Amino acid sequence: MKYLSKYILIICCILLSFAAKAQPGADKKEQIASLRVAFITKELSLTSKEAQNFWPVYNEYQDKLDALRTTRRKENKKLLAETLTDQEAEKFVDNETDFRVNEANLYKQYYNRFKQCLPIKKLALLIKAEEDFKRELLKQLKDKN
Amino acid sequence: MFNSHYKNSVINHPLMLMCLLLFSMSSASWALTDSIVKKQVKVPRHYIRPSIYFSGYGINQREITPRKDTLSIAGRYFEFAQRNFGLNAPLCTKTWAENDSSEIKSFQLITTINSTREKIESSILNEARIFRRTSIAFKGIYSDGRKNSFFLAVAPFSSYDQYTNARKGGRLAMVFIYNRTVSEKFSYRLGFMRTFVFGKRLPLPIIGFRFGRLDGVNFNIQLLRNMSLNVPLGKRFNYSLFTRPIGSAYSFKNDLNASIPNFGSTLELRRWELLTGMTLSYKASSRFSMFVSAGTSRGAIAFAENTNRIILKRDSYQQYDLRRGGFMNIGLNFYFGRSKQINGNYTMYDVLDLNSTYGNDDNNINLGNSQIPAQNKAMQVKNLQFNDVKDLISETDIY
Repeated sequence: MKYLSKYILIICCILLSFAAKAQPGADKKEQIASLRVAFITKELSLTSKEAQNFWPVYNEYQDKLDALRTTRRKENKKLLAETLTDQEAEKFVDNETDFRVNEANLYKQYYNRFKQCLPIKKLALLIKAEEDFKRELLKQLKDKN
Repeated sequence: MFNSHYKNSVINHPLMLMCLLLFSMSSASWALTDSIVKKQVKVPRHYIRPSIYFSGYGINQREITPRKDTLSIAGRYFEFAQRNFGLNAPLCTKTWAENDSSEIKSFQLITTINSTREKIESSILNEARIFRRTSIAFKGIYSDGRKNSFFLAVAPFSSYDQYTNARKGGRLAMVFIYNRTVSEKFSYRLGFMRTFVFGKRLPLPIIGFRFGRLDGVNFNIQLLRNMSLNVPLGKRFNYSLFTRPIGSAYSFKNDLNASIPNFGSTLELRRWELLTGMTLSYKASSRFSMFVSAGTSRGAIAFAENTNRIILKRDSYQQYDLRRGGFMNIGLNFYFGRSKQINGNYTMYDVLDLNSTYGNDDNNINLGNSQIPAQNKAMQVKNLQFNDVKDLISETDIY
């Protein structure tokens, strides 16, 4: 019995290490998020106080945006079959409309909150930095291909 | 009676408890967001990911030298090995943010359930003794969202002498710390702890300073708990030089020991070591990290009859110095679920560091800081694919 429990423990460890390796996408997402922070920090030259106020709210915004996009992907995956019934097509269109409305609402809500933690010129720089970061990633993708 | 009940009851097994808690954590680590985001949309609720850890610590056979030669023991030696496994998981996380303010306050309640097996072989014992210790720490961390964090951990634990099937009464370790994150490069801590790391129960102050970024090179002095110089080597490796005390107190029945005359009495054994060494930790992915730690240690052991578990005078103990020798400490951490992003949030980095440094009063638990994102300077994403950026682009980006 004593030996059996040891073997079970070892097997659990092996299984867990496989599970640990099974999500490369999550790592890439974290890497992009951390690169985004480095990029924005450099572009905005945030002071220590600004950074302390800004990053928690920005991270919260990114979490919610990420959740919206994940839900959209999951829903669309289910609906984007070869043949759609009228009902499914309507649900797909509704989902897409909801997504775009929610994304815009989220953007508005959080950019209003960013106004409280950053001077307005830095907020304008943030919008530009987000665009530049996107282009930087696209450039890397283009160079790779 | 109690022991057989303890052995037979599945729910009493720490592993089962941890599994139950882990499953409840993974199902509860998602929460509905506010009304702006429609139903089905869930964001991670906790800042800390549930994790399971395994670790092992051991020292080679060491010579012990009595401070007063009162007992005749043939061949003076001491050997120690320890294994831990446990679960660290958030129980609840509450965040507050006013609509017109950027301030995010948070409160986190975290638990660490730990099971330790300690094996002691020594000339002061006729046979090797195995102690099992189970502790459940509850940690509350409040951060005001600016620079201040408060940390309180209460960790009751009980030990079990496997040889005589004797369960000894519980003990309590606790720690309270105030942390101020002055900037990303400097923070200080003040507090106190009720600890057994010096081999006996001691109330001790904590005075800590960190110089340098937690996601970069930093020098961390946490008196009287540890001192370390941490250097990240790329995104996955971290190297650190450290010095820290470890130790514990054990009570067990004197049914074998020929050296102590009163058969049947309760013996109290104290052990403490001061470790100096280096640690190499590796973050394989967001789900798995590990560390290897090695160096040298020296310390002392002491034992005495203490049936009523009262505070004895120092002279009542037979004290031995433990000769300097090598030690080895290895550990694996597995992470589950998702957590809120904390990129650039230096106050939260300190909160994570508090959780991984303090808790169950067992200093061979090394939860590590692998949840703190690596500082990225190079603008290069390895193996970037279209799927990684498709959410970010619109057709106008291509023009």
